[in-house]
Amino acid sequence: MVLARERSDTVTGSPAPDGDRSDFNRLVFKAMGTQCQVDFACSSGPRAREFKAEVLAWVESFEARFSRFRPDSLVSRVNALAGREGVDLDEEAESLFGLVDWYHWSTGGLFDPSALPLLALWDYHNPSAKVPDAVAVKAALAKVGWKKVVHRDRKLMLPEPGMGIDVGGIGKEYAVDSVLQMGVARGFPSVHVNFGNDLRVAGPAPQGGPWLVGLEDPRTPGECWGGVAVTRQAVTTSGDYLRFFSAEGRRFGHILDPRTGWPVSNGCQSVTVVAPTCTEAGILSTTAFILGQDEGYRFISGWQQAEGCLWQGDKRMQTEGFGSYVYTSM
Amino acid sequence: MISNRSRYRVVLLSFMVAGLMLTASPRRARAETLVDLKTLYYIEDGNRIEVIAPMAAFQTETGDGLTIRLEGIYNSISGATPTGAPLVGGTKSASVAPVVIVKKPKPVIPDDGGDDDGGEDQEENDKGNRVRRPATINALSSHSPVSAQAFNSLSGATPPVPPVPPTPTPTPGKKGTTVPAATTPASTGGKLPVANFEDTREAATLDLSYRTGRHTPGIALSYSQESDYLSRGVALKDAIDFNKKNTTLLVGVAGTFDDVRPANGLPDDTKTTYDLMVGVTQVLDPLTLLTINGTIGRTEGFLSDPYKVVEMNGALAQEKRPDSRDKQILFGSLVRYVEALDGSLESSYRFYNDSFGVQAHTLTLAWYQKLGPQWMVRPLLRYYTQSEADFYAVRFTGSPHYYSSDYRNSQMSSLGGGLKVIWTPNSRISLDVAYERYEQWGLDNVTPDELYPSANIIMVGLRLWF
Repeated sequence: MVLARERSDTVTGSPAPDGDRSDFNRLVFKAMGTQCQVDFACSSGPRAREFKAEVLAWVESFEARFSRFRPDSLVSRVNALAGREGVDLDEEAESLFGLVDWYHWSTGGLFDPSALPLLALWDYHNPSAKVPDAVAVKAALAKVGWKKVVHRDRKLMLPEPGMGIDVGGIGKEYAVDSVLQMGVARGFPSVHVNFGNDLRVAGPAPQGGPWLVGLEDPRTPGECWGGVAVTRQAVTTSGDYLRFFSAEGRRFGHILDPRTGWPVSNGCQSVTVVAPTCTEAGILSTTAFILGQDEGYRFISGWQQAEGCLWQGDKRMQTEGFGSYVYTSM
Repeated sequence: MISNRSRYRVVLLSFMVAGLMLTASPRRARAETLVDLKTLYYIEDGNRIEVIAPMAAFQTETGDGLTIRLEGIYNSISGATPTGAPLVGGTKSASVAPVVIVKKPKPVIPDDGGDDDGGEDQEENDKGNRVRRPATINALSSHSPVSAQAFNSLSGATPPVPPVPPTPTPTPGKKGTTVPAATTPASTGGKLPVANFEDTREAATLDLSYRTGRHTPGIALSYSQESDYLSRGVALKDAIDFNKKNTTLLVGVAGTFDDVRPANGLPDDTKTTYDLMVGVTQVLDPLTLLTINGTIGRTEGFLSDPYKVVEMNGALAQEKRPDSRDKQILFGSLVRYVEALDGSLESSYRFYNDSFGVQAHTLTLAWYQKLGPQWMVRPLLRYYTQSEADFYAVRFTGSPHYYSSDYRNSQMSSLGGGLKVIWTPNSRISLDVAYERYEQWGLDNVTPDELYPSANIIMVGLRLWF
């Protein structure tokens, strides 16, 4: 969930392959370091092309502002000016960081975009990554804490040099919600947005009825243990079974626990959440993953309109209402 | 621990103000030492917010015109307050975009008993022919992997960078699957998104005034602290008598300096208020007293409620109010003693206007009826109505500059009614018991009715003279 910069090469959309709804359009492109896909129902070719262009332009602009890998982005400017001065926020940034404030609080601090010093230490992008020593982790941890970040008067400031933010934990999900809203606002009766396997839908699937979302089995990636049927929800899965490195005989996943500064190692393999928005679902699934199966289960249970399923070994726990979404029998 | 202060603060303030007015009223002109002990109990319907507020005060007058009053208040507050997020499934809050509703936003992870939370709601959702599954499934024996190709979309951990496998291609209708109707869970039906909180507040005020000639200058210092809020205030005032004491001019300035320390991770901030008040009290005739005063004030700093959110473009966002507010208040009161009934009528009207766009009117009628030498009853009726703030809406789209869905910024009215019984068996002791019922309702036909709380207030007081 890192906003790495990748060239947003435009893959022109093509009608849905051989579905019975020929008015479905598809746009596939790479952005935010992952594969992005947008499907939407629109019978007018010009309107569909216009929407695709709008999506690509928005995603490009979003990434240009919020990727920490782009030196001229807003996030990079905030990081570069840490301990010195604040950076003015535009409307979108104000809205995004307002959400950050809210979710940092409501997850008890487990969602913390100021964990960049830790992310830099645990450099998952480096194939020869090593396990940092405990002193370095402690020093990096001292620079982490969204509560210290000054966010007011449409400005964001990191009060101490060495602090840094990375909105990777919310940016992609926020982008999914935004693109979906753009499609809905255009009046498309059905929209499906999937960025890096985090998705949200509105309206019926091409075959009619709900969208069928496969849930990847963390034990056999590429295969699904089941699926859920949704028509107006987001589905996200957090897990470290695809991104990790092994060193010193141990396996280190890419999701860090901001309380300890170390990768999560509670045995949890993946958490799937179904919620009204992708932002909410993504933050809940990552938070529950950090908490582990038992506590994560209770955490998700405490949220209205959110349901979750947590894998640990061969044991799966799911919240009371999750079963009502499940489509494929296990 | 999450705390919220605004609502009960308003309520308490109104009672404190009422208390001060009573203290300052010329009804009982004694120059001695007294002690006040009071307890207020405030409970909203549905047990939403409960406040227990004992108060103790000591007041003494020295022979040379100096009056000292020291007051201490302790509040214990607990309950739940609406977050500002729209109701789930409420008829008035039908929303195109589903919204995030937080039932339990406190960061504390619930204990074992917390498993039940949400279960009830889901119980409703699951009615019908959906199959209930146990919360825990050991999938080992029944696990049968399904290819991702069988689905419209895939949810899984984000692939490594650069992404190796592209997102599986959906194959709509491929398997000839006839999927059951889109049975997404029904809404939970008018459930109010609230934030739970629990807090205590300790407050003290010291009031000094000194009568010298026609002037009675005074200074008041106040201090109040909660886990997330600290307030310090200072006020200077002077009452000047004219016209054989039939006219009293009151002038005062006050400053309040608050520190806001939200428990939810928002940065600490400050709030500063300056007020200027000018008033006159005129004895119209031996039985009639008229008071008119005006106040202008400015508040600067963090004026949002850190615990309130709004629905913005389909998602939740922290509410945002302007960082300054100018207010103007005009207050008039008429007290008339009716000899024939041995009672007096107190009527007052208050007009409030501020730069948030709120205009409010408060009309209060109270009747003090003596029943023999020891008893007095006081029925009271208070009507309040306000217009909505410029930045109030139940949900927002686009990118407004300021936004709040706090119902207290909506167009609303309230009606309070109550009865107080005062017993003064001798000249050294007075006991009083009061009950007040407080109803509120919205006027915009948009804000859900459930947001407006009704409350019962019980007060017990004891005053001793020495």
